[in-house]
Amino acid sequence: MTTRKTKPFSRRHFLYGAGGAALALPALELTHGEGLAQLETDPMLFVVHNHGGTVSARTARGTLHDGSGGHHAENFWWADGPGTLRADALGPIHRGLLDPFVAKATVFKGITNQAAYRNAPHRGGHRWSNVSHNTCAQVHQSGEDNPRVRDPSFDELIAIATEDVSAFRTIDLELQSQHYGSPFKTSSGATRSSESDARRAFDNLFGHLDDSADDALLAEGRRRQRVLDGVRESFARLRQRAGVADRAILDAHAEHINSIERSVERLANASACSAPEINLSAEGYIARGEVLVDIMIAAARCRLSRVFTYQIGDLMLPGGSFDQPRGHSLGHRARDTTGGRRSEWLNIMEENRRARFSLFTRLLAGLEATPVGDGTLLDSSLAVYSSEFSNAAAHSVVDLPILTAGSAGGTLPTGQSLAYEPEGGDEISNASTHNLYTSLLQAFGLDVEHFGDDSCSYRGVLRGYEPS
Amino acid sequence: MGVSSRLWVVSSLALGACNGSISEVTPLAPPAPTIGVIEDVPAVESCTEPDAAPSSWRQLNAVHYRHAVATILGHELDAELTLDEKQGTVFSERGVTLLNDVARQIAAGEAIDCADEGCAEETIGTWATRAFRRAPDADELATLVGIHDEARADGESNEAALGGVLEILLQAPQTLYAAVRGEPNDAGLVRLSDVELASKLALALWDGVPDPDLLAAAEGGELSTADGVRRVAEGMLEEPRAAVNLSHFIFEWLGLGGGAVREPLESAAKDAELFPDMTPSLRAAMRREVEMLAVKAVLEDQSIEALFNSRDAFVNEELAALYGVDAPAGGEGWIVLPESERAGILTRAAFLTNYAGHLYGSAIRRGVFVLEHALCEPLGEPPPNVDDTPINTAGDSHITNQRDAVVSRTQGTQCQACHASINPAGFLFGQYDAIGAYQAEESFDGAAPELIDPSGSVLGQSFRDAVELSAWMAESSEARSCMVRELFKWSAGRHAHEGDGCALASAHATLAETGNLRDALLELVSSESFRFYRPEPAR
Repeated sequence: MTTRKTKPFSRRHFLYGAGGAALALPALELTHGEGLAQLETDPMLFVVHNHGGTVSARTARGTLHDGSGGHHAENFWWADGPGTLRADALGPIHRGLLDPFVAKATVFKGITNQAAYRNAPHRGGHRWSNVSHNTCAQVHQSGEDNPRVRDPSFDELIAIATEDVSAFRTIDLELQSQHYGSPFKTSSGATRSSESDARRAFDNLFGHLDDSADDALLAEGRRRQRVLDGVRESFARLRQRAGVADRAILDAHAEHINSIERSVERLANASACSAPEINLSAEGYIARGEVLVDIMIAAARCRLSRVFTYQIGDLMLPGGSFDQPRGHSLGHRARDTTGGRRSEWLNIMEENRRARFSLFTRLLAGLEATPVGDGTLLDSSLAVYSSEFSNAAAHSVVDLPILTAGSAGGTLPTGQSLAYEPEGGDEISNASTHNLYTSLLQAFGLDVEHFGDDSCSYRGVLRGYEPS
Repeated sequence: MGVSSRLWVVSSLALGACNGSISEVTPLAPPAPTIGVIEDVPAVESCTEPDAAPSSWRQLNAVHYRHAVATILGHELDAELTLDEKQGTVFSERGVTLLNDVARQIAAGEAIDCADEGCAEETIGTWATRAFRRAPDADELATLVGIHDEARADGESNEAALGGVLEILLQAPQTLYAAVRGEPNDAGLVRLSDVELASKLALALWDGVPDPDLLAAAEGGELSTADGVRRVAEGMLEEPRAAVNLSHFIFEWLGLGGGAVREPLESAAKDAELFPDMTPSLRAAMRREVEMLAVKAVLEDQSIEALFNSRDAFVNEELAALYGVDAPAGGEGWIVLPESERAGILTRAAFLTNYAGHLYGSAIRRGVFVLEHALCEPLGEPPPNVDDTPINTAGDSHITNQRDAVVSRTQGTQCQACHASINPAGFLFGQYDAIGAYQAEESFDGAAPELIDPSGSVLGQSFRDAVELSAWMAESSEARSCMVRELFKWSAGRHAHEGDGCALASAHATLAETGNLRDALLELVSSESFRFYRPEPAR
């Protein structure tokens, strides 16, 4: 069990109250409706987002295609089931790669991003799907601006609840390529930036570990905190003059300042840990992705954060026959509208998605190889792999490819293939990402009865995936 | 029809286009409303009452910020500043973190000439005035001085303590946003103060912050009337900074800086075997040509006709070779391009390179640009199931040219909702390859060479080729109206909203009458929409 540190009252605390947390909490209370409780367990969260969807037979409307016509009508994700997850019954993307972890994983079928499905102009669309995927929030779009949310992604709530116990509030990495916006949002809906440069990530995470906490370092920490206090005080003052729209923008900006300040503060208290030896000079897309995964594993072993996110950009690899440096078109191509090359495109698509999924199983292997108490870091953590689309060709937010591994310290069931089918003539099942993330938040000890807006079919935890 | 409903119709038409069935993608509900974005510009004669849009504080972008830093310090900075060059409507976490790093970097490298306490407050006051583009109020100054004193009490030297204050100023919101307060008037609007207006003008016309002369003009009351603003703005346009700003405007309007699905000009992918001459220096020459033509058209010729129809080109040897003309004496300078091949900015290599694939020019991308960005004809989002892969005709011996390939790809009835307009506009550019070289015939996808048919149409009018289209656009009311919107967006740092209509109407009337882009810009920055804002309703 982890306890929060107590700190003496200071001007800094006053400022946090005036311009810091006070800026963020109203948005949480308004749309997510629940206060945050103290954590009673210390699991880590790893969220891997694979941009650009995969291949499934379920279209944007929910229709299950039969293999004819313009949709690829293939299932690369689902395991045979439902029931016990077996290595010999995994979907093509997982086959072989997930075998060592079937007892600790859960594959989902039939979960929809209902915030996008019910409200978006095209029942999804790139940007709308991305901003709502992890937030389950109402999306706002003004004029020609891109869609935005004003609420956090589920991982942010866990980050807020755990920020006092980690050197880094979150660690966000990205294997960079084309995509339509990060799905990881702060409490005001601003995008959390991800680091894609392995060297910078390594230096930021481990650079301080070789420094001794001498007087000069402590003085530098105090100086940086003083500067950030001054900046936040400036925000508080200017905010009083702002109208509603400008105030919201200032609040999002100030939240980033708060985030920097907390990092400065935490770094001074980081626990001792040896900087890992990682070859940072790998070449090739997947190899570079593996380096970032290894950095994430090393940071987890040093307990530098409790919340890790990892975005896999949408690049067409491997298979160099495709003549565009980005990958989403591959999903469209895999619909085989031109005839004659269907199997070729599908093979490339499968190979591509398996290569990306291998980054996730590399993470699982690293966590599994890290002993924690009587088990492993994978046992005490929860890793989530998902994408904003299922059928990439149709930009479908129905039947999303979602997989979890680990049990968050024994609170979530594992080793299953959970399927949610449409009932009573409905086009989609009643299971939404709202419900899944509610389950995850409760598993992390947050007192949240329902996450996200009310666009879903039912409130509360995902049936069949209730935390114990 | 309001903007929301119009876009809804466009979206509905686009839905299901290109190889999908309409029933498959029929949405449950209309798209979320677009809030207050103006669609129809009123007739200028109907603009009898003052009007303005609600306040929206402009944030400094990376270009503005570099200017601001030099102004605060009182000298140019040698060091490169790593900033978020692509910031959106709000500062990203990365952008804020980079600003924090940059502020520390600048403060650490700045030689602060103030060893004792006596000059501290004066130094802080000077920096704050430059940073905020106004004098700090007493509370602001007291806070900054207090932080300096805290640092001194913590054992820092006077210079180090001042460095901390400088760090604060370099990332304070008063520095990073052009915040306005203003004074209400009888018409229910709020007038920006002269000093606030100076900041807004500097962002609009210089892509930066006001210099001491501009602030002095504001404090001297020279910006208190529309005529005064216009006079000052005319003077500002004489400055070299204005030329840089306008070339930047044209560059961004053309989308040459890249986008979500398009690389910047500098890195647009091209096949190395097909285009071995596509060097970084050739790309730089393409960029330079656009910048030079923009300045010439807007500030020197002061003519939208020159922008769309001029054959003058600023080239070096590489670019001259691409255009098939002799290089100017000295290797770089102005030349005149062949009359039958080039006319205006849309027939230049930079635009044609960016709106192309790595093998071929792209009729679809070029057509979309002409309709959406040069004529402001909204097409809506592409449908979810659009096939945007490069056209590949392997196995189809009937398709032997790009035109037929595009037709084949977009022949579905639902595709035609948009492609009936896009394709004929894009076909006009068929005689330019993937890096903008002129070609009378093409060898498409391994087929025998064929003469290219560059005929097409835009808004129902037929044209022989892109040269003829450009001549029409130079005179077209639609292109002028669209250019006014783009100028507004650039100068105001936002889209036009309700309340901005009369400013657009007035600028459009000017441009329609004279074709003078400079005058249209002056009309915008001296309008009520620029100088006032509408307060939020009381709650």
